[in-house]
Amino acid sequence: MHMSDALLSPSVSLSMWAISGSILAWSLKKIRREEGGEDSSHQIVLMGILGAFVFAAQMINVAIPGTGSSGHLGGGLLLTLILGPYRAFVVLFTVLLLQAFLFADGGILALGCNIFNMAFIPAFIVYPLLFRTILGQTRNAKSESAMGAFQNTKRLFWACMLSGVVTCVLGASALIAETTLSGLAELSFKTFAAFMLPIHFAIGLLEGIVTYSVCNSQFKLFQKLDINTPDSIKVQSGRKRWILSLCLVTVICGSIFSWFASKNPDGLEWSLEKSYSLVNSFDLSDNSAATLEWLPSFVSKIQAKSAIFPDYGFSNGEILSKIKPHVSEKLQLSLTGLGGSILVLCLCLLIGGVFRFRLIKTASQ
Amino acid sequence: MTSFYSLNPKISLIGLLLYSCAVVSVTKFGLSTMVAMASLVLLLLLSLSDKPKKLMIQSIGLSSFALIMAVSNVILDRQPISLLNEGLGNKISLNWSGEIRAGWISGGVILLKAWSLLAMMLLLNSLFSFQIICDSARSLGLPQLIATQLLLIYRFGGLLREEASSLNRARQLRSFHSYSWVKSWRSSGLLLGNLLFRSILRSERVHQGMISRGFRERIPQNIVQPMSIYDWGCLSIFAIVLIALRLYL
Repeated sequence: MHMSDALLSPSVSLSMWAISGSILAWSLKKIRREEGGEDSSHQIVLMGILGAFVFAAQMINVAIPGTGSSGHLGGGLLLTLILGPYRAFVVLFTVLLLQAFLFADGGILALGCNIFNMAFIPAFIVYPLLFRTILGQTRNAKSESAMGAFQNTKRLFWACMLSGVVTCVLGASALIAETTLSGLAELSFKTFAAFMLPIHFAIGLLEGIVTYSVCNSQFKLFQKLDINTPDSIKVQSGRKRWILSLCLVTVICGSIFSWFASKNPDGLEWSLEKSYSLVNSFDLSDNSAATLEWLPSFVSKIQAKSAIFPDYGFSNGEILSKIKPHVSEKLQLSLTGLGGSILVLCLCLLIGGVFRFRLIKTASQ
Repeated sequence: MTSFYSLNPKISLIGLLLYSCAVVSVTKFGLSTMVAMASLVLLLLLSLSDKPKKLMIQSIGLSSFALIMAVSNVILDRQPISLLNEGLGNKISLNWSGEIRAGWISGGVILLKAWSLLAMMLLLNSLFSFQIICDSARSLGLPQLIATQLLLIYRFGGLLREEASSLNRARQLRSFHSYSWVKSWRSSGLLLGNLLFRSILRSERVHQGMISRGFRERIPQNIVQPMSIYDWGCLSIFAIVLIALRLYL
C-alpha cells in the first residue's frame, strides 16, 4: 500500500508531510515526557528490534483464499499493541523511511502520505477508538493491562479482526483520496475505490487473523516476560473515552449521514422565502421596495463570498474548484460535512477556552 | 570522478530532496520536462555508478501501483492530443501527423517519474553506506531517537529476515507446499508469534551486550565535515540545472 511520488501533486505531498511531521514531533515529545530523564536504552533497543521484526515478518507470506495470491503482515496494529501508540508511530516512521531509502518503496515526498496511511491510522485512530474500546469492556480493574485483557479470546478475536479490517480499509481510502486529490491519475474515485477497497478488506481480515494468532499464542509469554507496555497498560478515563466516542460519532455523522441531507430549504429558510414573497406582493412605495430588494441581494452576496461549502458542496475558490471535477457528489458531501464538523469543534473549543480563561482569571482575583 | 567522491554526503541528501521536489512539481502532461529529468538521472547513473547495468535492471522494477495508474491513464484517457493541445493553449508541439491519445502522455509522465525517482534513490544507496547517510541526516537535524532506530532496524532487520525466511522454508519443507489456507493462516500466526518471541528475547540479549559496550541511548555518530564552498557550489549548480529544466522545458 505504498504511495509513489510519481502519483502525487506537490500540494498534497507537502500538506501530508506537514501533518505527519507534526504528529511525529508530538510523539517524540510525548516519549521524552514519559521517559522523564530516566535511562530508556532498554525501550530504544526493544523498539529497534521490533521494527526489525516487522521487516522480517513481511517475509512470511500467507495465502489469500480465492485470489491465488498471498499477503503479509503490515505490523502497525501489532506494534501499537506492544509498544503503545507514540513509540509504535516512531518505529513505523523509521520502518517506512528505511523502506523508502533502501528499497525505494514509496518515495521521500510520498513518505508523508505513507506515514499517515500506515502509521497514523493504526496507532492513533484504530487502536484508541476501536481496539481499546472493544477490549476495554472486559477490563474490570484500573490497573489491569491490555495483555491481561487478551485472556478473553472472543473479545480479542473481534477486536483484532475489526481493527485489522478498519486499519486497512481506512488506509486504502486515505490513499485513494490522496491520489484523486493529486489529479494525476485518470481513474475516478469510484472506480479506484471499487478496485482497492475489497482487496484491502481481505488484507485487513488477514492482518486481523495474524495479529490475533500472534497475540493469542504469545500473551502468556508476554506476561511471563513482564514486558513494559506503558501506553497499553493504562486504562483510559471515562471522560477521555466519552470525548473520543463523541468525536467518532461526529466523524461518522459528518461524513456518511451528510449524504442524506435534504437540499430543500429548512424551516427557517422556507418561512423567510414565504415572507419575502408576501412582502413583495404588497404594493409598496418606490423607496421601501428598493430597500427591501437591496437587502437580500446584499446579504446573499456576502454569503456567497464567505461560504466555504455552499449547499454542502465545494465553493468556486481557487483550490477547491480545481478539486471539484475529480470528486463525486457524495464525497463532496462527506468532505464538507466533515469540514463543517471540524470547524464547529474548533469554534466550540475556542469559545470554551475563552470562558475557561475568564473563569480562571476571576477565580484568581 | 574522484572529485565527486570528495563531496560531502549531505549534498547527496539535499540533492535527492531537490530532485524529488522538481520531479513531483512536473505537470500531468509535462513529458518533455520529464524526459530531460530522466536523462539527467541516466547521465548521473552512467557516470557515477560502477555497476550501471545492475542499477538499471533494478530500477526497472517499478512500483506496481504507479504502473497500474499509468496503464489506467492509457486506457481511460482517450482524448486526442490535438484537442488537449487546444485546451492547453497549444503548448505541446508535435511534428507527427498520427493521432496520439492524451493517456499515453500522462501515463508516460507517471512511468518516467517513478523510474527516475527510483533510479536516483538506488544511485544514492550505491554511492554511500547507510551509516554515512544516517550520520548526514543526523547532522542535518534528524532527531537522535529516529537516527538510532534507523541504525538498529538496519542492523537487525537483515538478521531477523534470515531467521524469518528459514522459519518459512522449514514450514514449506514440512508441508510439501500443500497446506490449506486455514492451516496456512494459523501456522503463519504461530510462526510470527514465535519470531516475535525470539525478537524480544534477542532484544534483551542485545541490550545487555550494548550496555556492556557503553551504549547510552544513542549509537555513536561519525563526524560529518561541515559543507565547504566547493560543496555549496556543486549544490547550487545542481539546483540551477533543475530550475532551468523546470522553467524552460
